[in-house]
Amino acid sequence: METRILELSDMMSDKWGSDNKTENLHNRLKSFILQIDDADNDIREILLTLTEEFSYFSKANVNELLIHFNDQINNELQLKVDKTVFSKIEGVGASKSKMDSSNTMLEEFKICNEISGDFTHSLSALTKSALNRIDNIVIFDDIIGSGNTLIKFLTSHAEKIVTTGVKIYVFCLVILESALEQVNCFLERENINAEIKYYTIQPKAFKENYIFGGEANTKQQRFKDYKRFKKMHNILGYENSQALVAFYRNTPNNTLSAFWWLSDNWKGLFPRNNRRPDFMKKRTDKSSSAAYNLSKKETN
Amino acid sequence: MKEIHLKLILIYLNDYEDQYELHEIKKLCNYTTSQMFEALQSIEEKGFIQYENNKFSLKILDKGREYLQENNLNEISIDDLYESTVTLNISNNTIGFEDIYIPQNFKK
Repeated sequence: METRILELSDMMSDKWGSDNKTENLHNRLKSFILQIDDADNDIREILLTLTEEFSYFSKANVNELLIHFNDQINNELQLKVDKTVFSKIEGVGASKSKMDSSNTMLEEFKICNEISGDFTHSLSALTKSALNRIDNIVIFDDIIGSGNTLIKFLTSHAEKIVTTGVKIYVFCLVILESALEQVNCFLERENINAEIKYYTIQPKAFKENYIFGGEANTKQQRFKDYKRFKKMHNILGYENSQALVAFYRNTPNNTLSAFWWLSDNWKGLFPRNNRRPDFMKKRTDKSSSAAYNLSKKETN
Repeated sequence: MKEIHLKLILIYLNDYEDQYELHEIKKLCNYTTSQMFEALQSIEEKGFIQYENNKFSLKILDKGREYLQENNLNEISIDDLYESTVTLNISNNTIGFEDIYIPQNFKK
């Protein structure tokens, strides 16, 4: 077991790169796996196998991908600069964290690719006459887990998208296979001209003939029924997404919760972090007060 | 670059480490994108951060942390800076109507 953990942590360090969530990976992975009792070695093996397939996106990875997305937009898709608007997911059906992640991707994309704010507009603020002068709208997101948020967002703007004939491109880092199928069915049914561009597509972790071959159902049942996982919400990820992914900002709840659950008797490999949205809220409410408060703290 | 911006950026990177967002740094200092990149370049030249401009990667270095410590800013978080600052000091020695009020820092 020790040797396998060491080999896996070396392999994952090479794959994920180094940042504060992956430093000391060998010890972290060891503590993560050895939380499982000796008697349940098969659960340890399942977790190790899942870790091998896990994707982690550091800030450096995401920056590189945002530059790559821009290359795709300019070279592969050849979208005309003056006919393309960059936007984000917002409004109906979008949770605050979803709006936050989509907005962050958009803002970082603009900075990494030197794109002026003049090319950024919210889809809800764009009238039909404005959309008639635009060919493409490019939207960003980190993960499309179930596809429900994207579908609700596009549904709320469907009428003007269809009547103006504007094409929507959604760029995401990760999409789940089941979400892509659902979104594509929706687009076809509603006659919406949209295309999903992704860096990684993930099948459900326990999909038959994927990670666990023909034993996927047996492994899933054993994993789900394991006593230490019983108290975790969404052990198979939100809405049974069965994702294996974490980002430098946070781990989505689509990921199997054993990887992010944090309690007195369990520590996930990539615990979820709830600090950042608070800062974002405060930043919006009092955007100019940090410099003032710093000067006050220095004089006190 | 103003010293207050240097301090804000170092506090931010010390607090958020590898979870930094360039647009938050921009907003924090009320910079344009090019002003932010100039500031980051200048902070890197001082040896406080590692900044790779082709990858947009940022990391606070020991010298940056020492600077914060010298200025008693090493334990301040970004959240602390968004807390409302109370500037009114409550005194136990109340004053009456007959007392002459002289504001703090009053100069003739």
